[in-house]
Parts: sequence; C-alpha cells; structure tokens
Amino acid sequence: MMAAASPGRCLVTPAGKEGDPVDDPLERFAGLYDRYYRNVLHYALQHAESGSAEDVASEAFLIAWRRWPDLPEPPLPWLLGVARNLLRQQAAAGRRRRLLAERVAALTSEADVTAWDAGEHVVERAAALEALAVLSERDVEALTLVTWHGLDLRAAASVVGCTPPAFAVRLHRARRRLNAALRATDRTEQPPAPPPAAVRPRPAAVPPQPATSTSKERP
Amino acid sequence: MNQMDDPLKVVTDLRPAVLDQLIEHGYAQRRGADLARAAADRTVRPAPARRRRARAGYGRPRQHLIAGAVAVTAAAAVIAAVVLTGNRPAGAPRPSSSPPRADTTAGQFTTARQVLLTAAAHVASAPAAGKYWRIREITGRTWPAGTKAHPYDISQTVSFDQWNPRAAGQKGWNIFQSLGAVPASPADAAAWRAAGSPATWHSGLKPGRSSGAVPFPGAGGAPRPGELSAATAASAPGASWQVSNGVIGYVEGDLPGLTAAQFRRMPTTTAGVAAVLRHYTQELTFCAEHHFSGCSTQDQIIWDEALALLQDPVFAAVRSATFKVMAALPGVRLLGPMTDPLGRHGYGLDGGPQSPSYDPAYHPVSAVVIDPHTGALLATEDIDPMPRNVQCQTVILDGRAASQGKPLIMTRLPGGRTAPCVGSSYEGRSYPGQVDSYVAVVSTGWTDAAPVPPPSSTWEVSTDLPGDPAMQFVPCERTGC
Repeated sequence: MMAAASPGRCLVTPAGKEGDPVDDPLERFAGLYDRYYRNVLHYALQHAESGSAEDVASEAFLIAWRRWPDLPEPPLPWLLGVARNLLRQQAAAGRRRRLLAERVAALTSEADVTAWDAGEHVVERAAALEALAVLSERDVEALTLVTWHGLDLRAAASVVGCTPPAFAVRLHRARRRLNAALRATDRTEQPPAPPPAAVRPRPAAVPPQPATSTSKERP
Repeated sequence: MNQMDDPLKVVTDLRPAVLDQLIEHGYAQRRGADLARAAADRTVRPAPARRRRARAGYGRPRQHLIAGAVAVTAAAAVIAAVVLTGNRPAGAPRPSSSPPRADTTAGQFTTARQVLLTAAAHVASAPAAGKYWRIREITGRTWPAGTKAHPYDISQTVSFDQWNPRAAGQKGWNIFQSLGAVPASPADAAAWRAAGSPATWHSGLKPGRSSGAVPFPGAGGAPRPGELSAATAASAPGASWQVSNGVIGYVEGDLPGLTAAQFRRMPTTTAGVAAVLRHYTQELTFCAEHHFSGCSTQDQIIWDEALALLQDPVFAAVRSATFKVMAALPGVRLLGPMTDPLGRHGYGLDGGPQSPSYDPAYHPVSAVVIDPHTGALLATEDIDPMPRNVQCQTVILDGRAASQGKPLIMTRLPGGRTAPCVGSSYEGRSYPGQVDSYVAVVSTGWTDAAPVPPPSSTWEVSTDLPGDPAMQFVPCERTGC
C-alpha cells in the first residue's frame, strides 16, 4: 500500500497514515507530524507571525490526532485546510491575518535579493513583489499552493474547498492577473510612463478575502 | 513584446529563504510539546486496541470501523437520552469484575505454551464456505467519568458486525451500534450509583459540536486535557458499505489483503504457516524508514500476524497450526485465567512488549484472551500496568470561559505537569491492571445469510476500495469545526 495507495491522484506523497506501518498510535502520529509539520507551519507562516503560525500548526495536528480515523489520504491537503480554517478563526478573533505580500516583504533578506538577481528575471524583485501585492489574497493563495507547496490541482482544490476544475480556473486567472501586473510594473520601470493606479500596492487596511470554500467560479 | 517572467517562477522565487529557518525553528520548538499534548489527549484516542498489526486480521474495513465508532459515539452523545433502563442491548458487556479478574478456580495451565497447544488441539471445524465472512465484535474504551467524591470509570462500548462478501464487486457491510457506556467494573458501578447514577457525561462540549475545533489556549503548545461525551443509552445502529475488491481478510495489515481463494490455499502444517508468517514479516520495511520508532522483533510481528490469521477464513487445520506457531514463540507470558469483557472464561497471554510509546505514562500490556478448550480467540485487551492519573476531562471552549465565573480546575497530566481547565472535570479511579480498551470477538464465520443494514439515512460510504468516491476534505463550514 504505502505510496502506491493513490497513484496519479496527487503530487503529494501519500504517507503517514494508512500506509504508515507503525503500530503505536502515537508513533503514527509522530510520523505524520515529522512528515508534514513543516508544510503546515510553512502555510501558516504565510499569514501569521511565527508564534501565531506555530500555534496554528500545533492546533492543526492536535485536530488530526483527535480525528485520526477521519483523516483522508493523502493527509496534507486536509491538514492545510484545517490550518486555513484556524487562520480564519484567528482573524475572526482579532488577530490580524497578514497579507502574503506583506509577509514576504517583512521576511525578505539580503540573501533573497542576491538570489533573485542571480536568477534570470526581467523585473526587479521589489517590482515583482509589488505586482504580487496587487493580486487578491485568493489569487496569491492559489499561486503559492502550487509553487511553494508543490500541490497539484486536486490537492490544492481540497485545501481551499473547491472542485479541481474551479481551482484550475482560479489558478489560471491568478496567473493571468499576475502576468498583467508584472507587465504593468515592468512598464513602470521605463522612465516616462507614470505608474498606473492598478500597480499601487494594496493598502494594508484592505481586509483579507476569505475565499468562501463553497464558491464555484465560472470561466 | 517584452520578454516576460513566468508568473509561476516569479512566485516561486519570491519565497523568502528565512522561511526555512522559521520552519525548522518551529518544528524544533514545538515537536516535543505537541507530541506530549497528543499523548495527554484522550478525546479520540486513535484506537490503542487496534494497533496496526494487532488489527491486521481485521484489515482495511477496520479503519472504517474506527470511523464508525467515533461517529456512533458522537451520535450517542448528541442523542443524549437521559433514560437509564435495564434494557441493555443483547450482547452488551456487563461491568466486568476488577482486573486482573483471576478466576477463583485454580488454573490447570502453568505456561502460555500449554494454553496454546491445548487450543491447537481443540480448534473447532466450521463451515468452509458461504456468501459472507462475518465478523462480530464488541469494543470498549475506558474513561474517567466520576466526581471527586465518587471517582469511577466508564467503558464506552460499540458493537460491529462486519459482512465481507466472498465475491468481488459485491457490497461489504459494517453495521455498528453504540451500546452505551457502562461502569467499567463492579466497583465503578458502586461509585457510579453513589454519584447519582448519571446517564450522560459531557465535559464542556456542546452537543453535536465537533471536538476538533478548539480555539487557541492561552499558552501555545500547552497540553490540553481530553474531552468526554458519553451516554448510558444505546444509539440506533449505523452502517457503512464498500464495494469489495475480493479482499476478505489480512494477515499483515500493512500489506495487501487476501481473497477467500488465497486463504483456502493457506498451508495447513505448522512449518507452512510459520513460513507464511515469516515471509510477511520480511515484506515489512518500516524499521528502515522510521528512525524514530523502536521496532518490534520478528517474533512480535509473527505473534500479531498469528492473531490476525486466527480471525481469517482459513481451515481449522490452519488455525490449529497457527496456535502451534504461537506456542513456539519465545517470551510469551501466561497472565493467568481471565474472564473476557463479555464474561467468557479463558486464559490471558501476553505476547511481549509493544514498540516504545511516546507517552511515558502509557505502556499497556496487550493481553490476548484465549479459550484453550474451544480453540477460540476471545478478546484482546490493553491493560494499564500503571495507575493512569486522573485527567481533567474539560475543554476550554474559548478564552472567555474563565472570565464567566466558571471555576478554574487544575488538572494533573502525565509527567507531573499541571494545566488549568475550566468547567466540570471527571475523576476516575485508575488502578494497576485496569483495562484501557478491548476488542471482544463475538463470532467469526462463513454464512449464507444476508446482512440487514439499518436505514440508508445512517449509511456512511467507505472510501478506499474500487468503486467508491474519494474522501474529500470537508470544510469547517459544514462540520461545525
């Protein structure tokens, strides 16, 4: 069984639960934890400070422990979905859910800039970040789930609670919008043109958009 | 047109490198506390009675049985019938006598080997074919449920009736029913009566509310106590089904199961059965893959596989040979005469230590109760050799509770730590030898009868066999978490 449990269903390696051949419940839980805690914390860190993000990740695993029999295979999309809901609860409780572009800006170090410059990019890193900031959180989330987290459509769709086709549409639109924002930003790098309003960084006061999990987008 | 960056590459490369440090830091900081917190949390213990290999014989359907058990327990809590009557469903366990529950009659057996060889000689023949391989079981789990003045424990019991079709493509059924909670022992029953014979137990959870959505505690990573939802009343039965792929049982739960035809070809000699079980142990690779886990020895794995095989659709000769293989294993202890949770007499055997646990306060003995005179496997039980400390059974539903005038109760947690909890707390009378959880086998066998499932409104479709829809993540909006 192991990894062969769901061939072709998902890029995420299924493991840690049904296929995990360890007999002690706590050991199995530890296996799940060791395998996926970093992924969950990674996701939480996109929207919360370290302390809060760690709380969210810890909480997600406690929930997994309590709902062990219900844990789907592969477990990662489920875990990320739980973390997502917890982040939303945190936001509802007054702990501010940070915008991703804001988090990236806050976490950027000298090394990131150097690495960016070493990469083959047309735009500056700061400009790229500015373009990302134009996008809605819903768009940014779609993009990071497939890039930073390496999820396929099916897995990413289950994180945000929509169907894979709906997520595909969401991702497609996010790419298109980012592309447009990059072009606009790129144009702003040319001296004469004044920056279009669209590339203004989003005001920090704009509330995060909790993507309703039941919504279905139409192309 | 200008050359442009690929949007996905842009996003990929925007990822700050410091995230990796933060992630590793969080992992290092939290792991210990998070595992301890899970160990201290008994809300939904992931079925200690169903350690993976121990439940190998139950195979995949067992996974659904567990889910069913949880669902049923929740349902029972929601229904929360307040009437306590004497009408316990047939087959429901009576409060068992206090462990170690040694029979007063002197045992005629002095070694585990004698018990096993006698069982091998008394294996009963049974019909070798039928439409369904039916397994009926009753499971129980112990919880502290009393008050400070009258501490006692209850056992939550659930019955399972598993119908595994011989032929692929047919529906297999698991019909389950919460039989309600009963005092765990006669002494517990007395304390329960002294406490006013409560019929329901709730530790701060709103009825119907999932326990999975506990908002954040004050201190991140602090252990949180468990929760209890139980009622003495039985619930209506529920069921789950799946389209069979022909697999009808397991020898090793971590490996693919076998069909009825494959079980019929199982060797009938002791050497043959031993070779099969050894072969299966060699298929397991987890020792190499899980550096954090202590590994069972090959003999321990064979012991577990043998228990599984005893519940599979094999000829009596195979069952007999299996007992002989078990008798030849080293380190098997005779615990003595035991009465199983259904009141049947047998002998308790301990197949050896399980792999190490992360919970320092939980090292159960896994007892196997066998009736040597009928060659029947009666039950498996996890027994605490150590008194398990009383746990606060209250959950902090939200941060406001403390400011709403509810009492603040400190609770002891494994390892001597304390944690505050809010609201009512349940006290147990833990003692050495307490049965923490059990699986009692009511019957196994072929039948030509057909299952009579409860109404379709109670069905849960199982997911991991061909023909079934895949399980989806259920958003919080729908589960109430």
